[in-house]
Amino acid sequence: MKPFCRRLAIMLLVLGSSPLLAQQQIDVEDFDLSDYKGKVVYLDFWASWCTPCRASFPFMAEITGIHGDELAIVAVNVDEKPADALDFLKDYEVPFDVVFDHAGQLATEYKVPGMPTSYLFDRDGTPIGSHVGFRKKDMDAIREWIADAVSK
Amino acid sequence: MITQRIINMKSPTRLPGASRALITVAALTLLSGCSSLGVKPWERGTLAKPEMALDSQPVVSALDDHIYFSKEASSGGRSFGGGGCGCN
Repeated sequence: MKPFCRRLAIMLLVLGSSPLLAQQQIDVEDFDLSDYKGKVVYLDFWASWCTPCRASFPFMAEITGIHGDELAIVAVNVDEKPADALDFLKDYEVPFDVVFDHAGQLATEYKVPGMPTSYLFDRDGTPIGSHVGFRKKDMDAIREWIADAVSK
Repeated sequence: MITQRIINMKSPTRLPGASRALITVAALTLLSGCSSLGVKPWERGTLAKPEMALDSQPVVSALDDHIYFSKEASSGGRSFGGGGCGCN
């Protein structure tokens, strides 16, 4: 029993220190927007093959740092192969939740018009709006958009 | 007699009801056949792979274009932005 406990402790330590597991990873079946009630939610659909999504990850990490507990960023991955998503996540600091939607179930539900697309919800879960694509020139507008929702 | 013949020639030949129905069904099937071919924005992972690009080696094709331009004194014809005026 003792060696088993020690092995378990080492495993937890290794897993816990991995940046990949610093945030919650949720399967689409377990995802419920109402779990984030009381927080402004920024729901972002991304994929490993989507180039603008690479630019959006450092941005989302920065926004998380600014608003802390007031804002929940949920990044929904729509890669068909889970390994592609995990490889992508290794390259970035991900201090927010990631939902895996490999079959595109949630994407179909939201009728995602392009990649990436982000949706903003107020503290009650009511949609405020959406934003398609991610360009550097959009960053300030998105920052303001989120700050405005958080301040309400 | 001649008048009778002309009348016979002008009268349209009507297809039987079953054939008309069959042609209508076939036409509808063919016309709507391509209506659901769209790949959804989140399903473009395979299409986004470099090997799926129309021009997977842009450097090589740029070189080919340059050689073609030098040899033929004309350009364009294959994904080229110029108007063939030779002013590139």
